[in-house]
Amino acid sequence: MTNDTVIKFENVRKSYPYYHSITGGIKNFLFNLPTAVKDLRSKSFTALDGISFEIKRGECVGIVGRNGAGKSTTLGLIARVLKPNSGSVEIKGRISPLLELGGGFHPDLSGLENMKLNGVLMGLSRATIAAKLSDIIEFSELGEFIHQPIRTYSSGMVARLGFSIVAHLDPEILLIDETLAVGDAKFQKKCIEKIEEFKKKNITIILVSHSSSNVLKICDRAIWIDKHKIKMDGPAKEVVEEYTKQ
Amino acid sequence: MNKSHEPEFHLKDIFIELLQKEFKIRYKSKFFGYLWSLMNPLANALVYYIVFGILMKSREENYPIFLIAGLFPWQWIANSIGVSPMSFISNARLVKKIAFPRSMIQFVTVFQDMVHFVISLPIILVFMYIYDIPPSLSWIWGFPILLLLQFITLYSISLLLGMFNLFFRDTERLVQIFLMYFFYFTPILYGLNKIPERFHDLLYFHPFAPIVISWRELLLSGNIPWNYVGSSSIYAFILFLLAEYFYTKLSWRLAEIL
Repeated sequence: MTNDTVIKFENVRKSYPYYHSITGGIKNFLFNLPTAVKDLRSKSFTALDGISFEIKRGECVGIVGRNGAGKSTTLGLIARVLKPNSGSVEIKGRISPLLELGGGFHPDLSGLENMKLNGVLMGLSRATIAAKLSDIIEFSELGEFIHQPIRTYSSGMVARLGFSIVAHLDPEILLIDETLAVGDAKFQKKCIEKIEEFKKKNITIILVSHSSSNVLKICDRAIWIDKHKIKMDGPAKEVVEEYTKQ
Repeated sequence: MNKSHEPEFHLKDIFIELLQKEFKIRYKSKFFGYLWSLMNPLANALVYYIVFGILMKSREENYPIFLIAGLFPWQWIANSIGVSPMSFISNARLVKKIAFPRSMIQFVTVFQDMVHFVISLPIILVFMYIYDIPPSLSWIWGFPILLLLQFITLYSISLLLGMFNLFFRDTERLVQIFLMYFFYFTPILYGLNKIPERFHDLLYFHPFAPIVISWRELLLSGNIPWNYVGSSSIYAFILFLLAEYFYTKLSWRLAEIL
């Protein structure tokens, strides 16, 4: 791994066993014991079939592909919540996942409380969070709502909160999963400005999306995953062009 | 394999924030907060007192305090174990997105129930005062020992059940049934002397009875029944090893099963 490579996938395979043969419950499992065991052992679903790529520090990469192509699995592997079955995944640096709408938020807690909780779960200390609190609140434009429980928020407000937290985490690698589409036009613009600022700071950004317009707007490079393999990897414009032709 | 450096987490800070979250969720939206949370065990105690103390005429001495001294520790067990099968599932979004140390979820839940138990102890003191039972010096070492033992036991079982339920999603119902059986086979509503002598050895195989008996002994007479404390310690130790073993094996699979 060269010095400025921050993410390196080498011939990564990831498959999931058919867990549903047992998640049906103990009762089902016992009644269908032979088939359940056989299914669990032999059948699996391949999500990624030998993909390799490298991402360098400061790159802004969009990952495109249809539903079920393996985008989320790729993201999960980068976020270190999944492990590959074979091949290797190397990551350098602190990862900040931008949780999808409402993810990681508890509805009964206020925006502020959720902010702190998310911060520590993403690896910040309480002291660091306390120091940044006023910036986050200001960026979110939530005003007094920050003290209200999240369940009273509109989906746009939740998205604003989520982005504001991540924007102030000092990420080294920022993972964005389909979140930009929410929030009003003004806030979207603000998000894109913030992302531009990150790019200037040489922060690596991975944007997963099936909407190609955001990828075009933000990313320099795109990786197209199709049927669990990389179909194309190159400048965002070219890849998106090919992808939208389909 | 991920060769990357593991991200650093401020475990203490995660613990504090998660604990605050639990407390806020538990007490905030309730009208009386703390007082309200004492209602449940007290209401339970009242029902059992009416049924077994008055109607069935239990001959146990000072039956109300006798009941409470066993019910309160049991409440901690029932609370922690009762929610544990769902612990990972109800935090699915976090588990799927962030690679934080996930066993923290169970650790915090059981810790919270422990704090809850500790702050409900004054009620027991009030009853002891009413029934003129003096506190004892052995509490000073008895309390930490029993708290620690029960904490480790419950944390380990919670972690195991949380993982088990990911595979077998009907675990929760079974757990409720088992809890009910364990409750009635623990000398809480009745004294140890009601169980025929030849079955006493069976209690060592009961995961919770020894510790509940120990609590009641400690609270009401200041004795620490070392035989039961010993068997509980062995339990706690084995369960802890099991939980850690499976957790190390399974923790990276959690996100894919959810």
